[in-house]
Amino acid sequence: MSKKFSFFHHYVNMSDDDILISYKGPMSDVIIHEISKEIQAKLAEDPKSGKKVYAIFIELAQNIFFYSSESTMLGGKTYRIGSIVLSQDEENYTLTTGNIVEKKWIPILWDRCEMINNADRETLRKMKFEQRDQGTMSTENSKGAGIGLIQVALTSAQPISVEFRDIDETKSFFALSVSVKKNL
Amino acid sequence: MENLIIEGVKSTYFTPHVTFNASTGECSIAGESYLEDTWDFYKPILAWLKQYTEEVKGPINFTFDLTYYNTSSSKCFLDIVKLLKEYKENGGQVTINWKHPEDDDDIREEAEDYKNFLGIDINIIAY
Repeated sequence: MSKKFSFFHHYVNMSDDDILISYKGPMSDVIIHEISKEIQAKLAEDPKSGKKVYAIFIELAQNIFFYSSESTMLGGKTYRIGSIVLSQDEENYTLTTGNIVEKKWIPILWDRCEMINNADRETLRKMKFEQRDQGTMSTENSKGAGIGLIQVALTSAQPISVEFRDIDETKSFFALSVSVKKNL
Repeated sequence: MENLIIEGVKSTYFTPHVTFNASTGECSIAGESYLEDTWDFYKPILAWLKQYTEEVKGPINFTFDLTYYNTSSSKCFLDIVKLLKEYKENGGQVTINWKHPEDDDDIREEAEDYKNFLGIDINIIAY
């Protein structure tokens, strides 16, 4: 890590959007908790949409917490690294997360998002239920229920947008973005 | 059989209030559920219910009263509802209530999904 982080570049890049919260770094449980409190506080005036943003944030942050393939050691503990931004425009709140994933997961993630975006609400509900029903959590490798992305799509009621960019032979940057309508 | 009571804690994670009464069969999970190791928390809860259905064999009036839970928690709720369904099919007396804040369509929809996809009666109550 000899390359110096360019704060100027970072700041200029982010200045185009109305950013409410932005974080990049180790996604610890304490950070997730603090950001979630901040979301609740900032969106308190818009409770129904705010709760949706909060629920989506938790699912996306936990994805990074468990699955990001970039990590750092702090005080003897391993923390996975990722980025999360909450921005707004006149009509929507938008949560965008970014983290590094192993390339082998890209086709799986891509297909999954495409399938979710092409399904109507009833199909998504059925899909979520069936996937939750498959396998018991006690034996599952996955830490969660494995249905986080479907839940994110159902909660937001808008398409999920995903983007990948190759970093090297084995790793890619994965960005996921989802919006929630204001004043629901 | 002893009652199962777990005080809900709100710190970095949120654990719900759990009150299971072994003499009346009144069971409730209330509050918020978002945990680091979800299975670790719900395992003894499922074990208690299983023991109750095998030893006490009394009626169960189960109430989900949550304002927020993550998808991993929902997996454990499914395990609970399935256990209750099995008990009912074997002759147990079971009532399931699912409360949700009036403006929370996401929780209401999910309760409907448990009801429709599992084919079990659930009283869905907005408040």
